[in-house]
Amino acid sequence: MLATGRLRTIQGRMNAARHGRRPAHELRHLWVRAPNWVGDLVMATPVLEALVGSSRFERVSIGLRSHLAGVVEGLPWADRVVTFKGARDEMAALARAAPDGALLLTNSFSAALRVWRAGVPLRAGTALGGRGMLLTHRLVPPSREGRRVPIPTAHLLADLAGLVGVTVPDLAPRLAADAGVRARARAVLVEHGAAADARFVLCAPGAAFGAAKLWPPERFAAVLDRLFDEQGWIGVVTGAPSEGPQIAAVVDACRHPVVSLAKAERDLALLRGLVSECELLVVGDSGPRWFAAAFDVPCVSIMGPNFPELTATSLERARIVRRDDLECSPCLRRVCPLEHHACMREIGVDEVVAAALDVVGTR
Amino acid sequence: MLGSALPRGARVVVSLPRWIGDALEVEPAVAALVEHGAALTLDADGGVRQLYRARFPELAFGEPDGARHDVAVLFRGSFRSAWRAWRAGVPRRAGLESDARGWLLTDGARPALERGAVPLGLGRARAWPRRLPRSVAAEAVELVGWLGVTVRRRRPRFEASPAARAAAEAHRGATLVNLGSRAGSAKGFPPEFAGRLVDALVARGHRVVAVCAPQEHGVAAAALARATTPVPLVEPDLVGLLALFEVARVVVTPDGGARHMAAIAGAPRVVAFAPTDPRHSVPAGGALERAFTADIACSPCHAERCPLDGAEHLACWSTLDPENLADAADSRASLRPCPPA
Repeated sequence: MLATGRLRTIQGRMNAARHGRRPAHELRHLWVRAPNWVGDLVMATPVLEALVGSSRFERVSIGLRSHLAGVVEGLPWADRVVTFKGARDEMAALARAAPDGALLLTNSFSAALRVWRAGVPLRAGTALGGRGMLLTHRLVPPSREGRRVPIPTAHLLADLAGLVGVTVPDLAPRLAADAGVRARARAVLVEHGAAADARFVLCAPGAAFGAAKLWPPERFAAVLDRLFDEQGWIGVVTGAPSEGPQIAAVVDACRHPVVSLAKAERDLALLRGLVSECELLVVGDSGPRWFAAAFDVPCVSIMGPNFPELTATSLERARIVRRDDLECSPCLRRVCPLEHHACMREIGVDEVVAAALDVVGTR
Repeated sequence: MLGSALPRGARVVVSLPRWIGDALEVEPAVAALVEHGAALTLDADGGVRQLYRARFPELAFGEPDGARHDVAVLFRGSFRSAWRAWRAGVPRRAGLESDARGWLLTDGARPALERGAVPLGLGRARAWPRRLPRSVAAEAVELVGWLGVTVRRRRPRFEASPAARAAAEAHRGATLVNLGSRAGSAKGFPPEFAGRLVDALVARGHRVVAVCAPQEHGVAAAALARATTPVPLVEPDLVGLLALFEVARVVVTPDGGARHMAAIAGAPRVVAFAPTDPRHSVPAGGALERAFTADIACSPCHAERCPLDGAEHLACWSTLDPENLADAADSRASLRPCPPA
């Protein structure tokens, strides 16, 4: 509009007159606090790559909880990762690193509090969770009538990089699975009863978020049985170290033989190897879904109480099965407050199998 | 979701961005609306209309009309686009609440904002309020997502015609320099800069071909007159330009529609952002791109014409060096040594 154009002209003149050359925002050492959720961390990998590769900073360190180190192992910038166990350990890591800027890829208040307490002069992140006052540079996500509207987490992470002047060229997650990682996965499968060259469907029925994201184990089992009948692929059931009972419940409900990794030593490196070797991943709305995106492996994700918009990236090889006709969904609650758990219970085996056959056809 | 999900079969008028580059980037969102089962009418003109007519020959083109449309999806961020939909009586109007148009929208969302101290990125010092520079493509995906439509494919898809591809063969493996822009536009290469850029590329052994749109001939010819080495000037239409980019070894261009066409064609790119901010328009396949930005406080102003006079006129371009762009073209060229036939 004409008025806008005139305003820009005035602003341009004022800026040039006041500042001449851009004031130097020389950030020598940027501390990037990586996300705590497995899925968010995988989604953040293109952002981390762009930040590490940027010429704006002399040095970039990536602060990461130690139990997540297995996710980024083998990536070209993995040597920039500084791991810590808890809050005290993180404070010590910050003190040792002494960065002059921090970019928070987590939305937690405590992460902002720690960089503020550590005296990092420049602190950038989302203005969520009431932490805006702790940040010197903040991003306010799109909103409507004062309430945040959902956008893909991957977009938000890229926007955060934009806050420190770095563009992210693409949002495709990156993970590494070299021959050693793949061989270990195959060896574990053989150890637990699979043939060395077995073609398999990987099933990860657990969800660290909470019970609201769990689909009934007998339905996972029914899907594995149907896929065995239709494709001849055996089922392999795995999960986080704490998800042994969910694995066992699925395995016990299967009619056809399946490989249970309940007793295997399961870690994130093994998960990388398994996902990179499988024909299809059948999973809830949880972190392994993003492993499939990174390795371009077909994936069916069964989604319950979450906003689909939050994870609407890397969908070329993914199918999301969810009920979009429930008034109570998405509630974002960890446990169904109405106790009927309809958002998951009303998803049938047939629609998951149909989605699986559809997505494997795209490979 | 902003309101109720878009019903299948809904009659939707889509207001496409006026800028070619932005219009190209929203193509996956338009395709997702088609796949969703919406009956689309595209509101576009000029080159955008030409490209979209070739891409979606089955779709209608026209203006918002309350009698024919249930929903207006406004990928265009202007006040006018919302005003037209409101005046036409389209019952549901979805878009970002930019340009003071929130009251005209039924399904609107306030864009993301950047708050705090002096921007770390390219934002102008003391500019307020600051809308966070975000990718047009990402905002389009989010907008249709709020209407319950999922965008599965993110890379825009446009095809050159067989005739255009045949004509482009003569320039296979060339380094294309985009010299086109509106006369006086701050975004285009200034003539002196363009001349030095062409010379620098030729000196490095590039087979340089200059390109511009037919209506930009005067600007491009003036720029070429500053180069000491004569190079051919090709003036294709938009479909022809896409075909040229498909066979180019590397493309050197200022920020603009050509940059996005080159990205769609998979060409390695060197892009100069003088008055503009690259965060607005990250194209798919950005890894093939090397961007240069102006390090001066008045940039990015996003003004069509430089508001400064005298020695400060186009000061943003004075912070960029054609030799650096040519060096980057050398390194980018190795990514596509010989585009396959």
